[in-house]
Amino acid sequence: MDIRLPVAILCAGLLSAPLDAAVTNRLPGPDGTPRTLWLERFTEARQGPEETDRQVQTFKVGADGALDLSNISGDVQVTGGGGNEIRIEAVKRVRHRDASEARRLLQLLRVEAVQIGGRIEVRTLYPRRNEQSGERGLSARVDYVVTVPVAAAVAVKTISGNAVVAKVDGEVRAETVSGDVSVTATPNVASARTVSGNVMARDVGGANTLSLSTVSGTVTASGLKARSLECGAVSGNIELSGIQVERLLAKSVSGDIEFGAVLAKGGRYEFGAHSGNIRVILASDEGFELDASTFSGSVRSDFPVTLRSQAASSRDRRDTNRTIRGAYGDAGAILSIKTFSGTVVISRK
Amino acid sequence: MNCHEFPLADCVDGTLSPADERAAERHLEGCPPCRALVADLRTVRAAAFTLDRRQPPADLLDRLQARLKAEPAPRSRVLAWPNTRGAWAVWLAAAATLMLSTIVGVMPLSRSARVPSTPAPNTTLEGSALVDSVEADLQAAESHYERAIQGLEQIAKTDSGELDPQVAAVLQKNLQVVDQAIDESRAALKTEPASSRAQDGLFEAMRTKVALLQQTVELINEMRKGNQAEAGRLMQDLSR
Repeated sequence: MDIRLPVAILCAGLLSAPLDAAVTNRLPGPDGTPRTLWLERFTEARQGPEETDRQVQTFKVGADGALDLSNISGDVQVTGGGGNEIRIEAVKRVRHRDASEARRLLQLLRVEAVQIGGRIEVRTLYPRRNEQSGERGLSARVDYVVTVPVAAAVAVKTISGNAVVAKVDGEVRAETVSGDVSVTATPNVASARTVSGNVMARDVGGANTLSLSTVSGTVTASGLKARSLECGAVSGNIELSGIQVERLLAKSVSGDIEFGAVLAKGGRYEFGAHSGNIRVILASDEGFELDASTFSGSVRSDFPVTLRSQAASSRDRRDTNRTIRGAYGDAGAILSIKTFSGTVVISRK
Repeated sequence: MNCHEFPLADCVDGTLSPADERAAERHLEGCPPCRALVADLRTVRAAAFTLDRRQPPADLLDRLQARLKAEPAPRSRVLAWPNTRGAWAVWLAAAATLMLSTIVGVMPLSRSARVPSTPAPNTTLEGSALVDSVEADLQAAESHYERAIQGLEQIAKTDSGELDPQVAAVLQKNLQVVDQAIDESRAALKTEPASSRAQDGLFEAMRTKVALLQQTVELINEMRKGNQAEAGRLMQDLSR
């Protein structure tokens, strides 16, 4: 009974959709799948065709300028390039059943870019919602494509949309709430965060502590080099491969954690999960001191760890599978691994 | 520098001298409990400062001060009275978090020092009292966490309308994941009350819930700030 009304509305919307307009007014999504096309038609039927307006602004900032961009709905893509300019291309997109109203709203949706010294502050300004008109929110978004000097510092924040930063040497902070965050070929990332979405870091570094976090998506990092790395997820996985860090803190609740890297001498690596599994993949010549434990899962090491204290003293046979404390090789690094019900595996590469 | 010497308030406030800051950083690198505590407090602090300004009811301060006087409170650094209702709620939650985190930070040390991993064959009366004391400490820590969680949940529930429904659903779903972790840890503690791993699991899950709720409150305030900015810009009315 509960689903009849939404289904009826959905069918009516699809039947009343202007099919030719749906196909011609906007290209399908990058995947071009039937689902994408279906969603496109559904959106168009519900909210009307899309009106767009493209604006380009350029600012001279010098080689070490800075970009501080804050968006609400829409994707943000920032790329480092040559020169001393910040170039901002903003595409405003508004949907409304009434085309003239859509054009009017498009005018009200503003992109404000202010230069303060070498820093450019960009804000997306939405028209205020009129409660009395029965308007239930504006279907509007602004997609940004920005190029900055290579050495520029970049801080981007969007609420609903993806944030992508690439080839920027200055400090990078990228955040979204609902969407993916991707940082690539950026040697000085401070943070990449989202709530509902994935975080991807590839060939990046961090001057201090680099923070990668999501609540429900996956954190993926490869080719990362930083002194200190903190990764967090709740229901998502954390996948770290080919990274070089001296300090690592990786935590998830129900997601799995996989770590494959060369351990630094004197390095400290901490992993924690509740029901998630933790897998540490190491080269065979690395020494480490291991403290691994689980409450109801199991712990296994492919390395012949010399036990410091274990259940072998052995009041409880179950503990032999649930705790390993000891050293392997020169014990040059510290591995601390804890799960509640997940499995811990330390394996060879 | 040990945990007792660690300048917690100044570190969170960012008022340390460069030399003290380096010393504090060195301590944090090797001390996960202090690091977690500092991270928690910084998040709460950031959340508190993003709350919009609202005038509290005229008698709120008097009522709060009366309540605080009625309760035994630990001595601590005096902080400026916040002047918004929301800030009060978050600061109270911060205070609870601070207390419980301190306890939790010290707990593993005290537990490992005081509770033998293998019970002695002849448990003395003194040992039994010690275990009782530890259990009481743990219960106190748990109740502190619960209070912090309740405070933050109250804020999150009251103002969750500020969030996008999809994001709110994701947060809700993940809070349920954490709740499940808390329930499982509690069940484990019932079956094995002396298990440090079960205790660690419980506190870790509760700490995660506090952090997730803090993040939720932070998001709510981000959204609220956005609305205020819109209102302040005197945009043209859409219906005209």
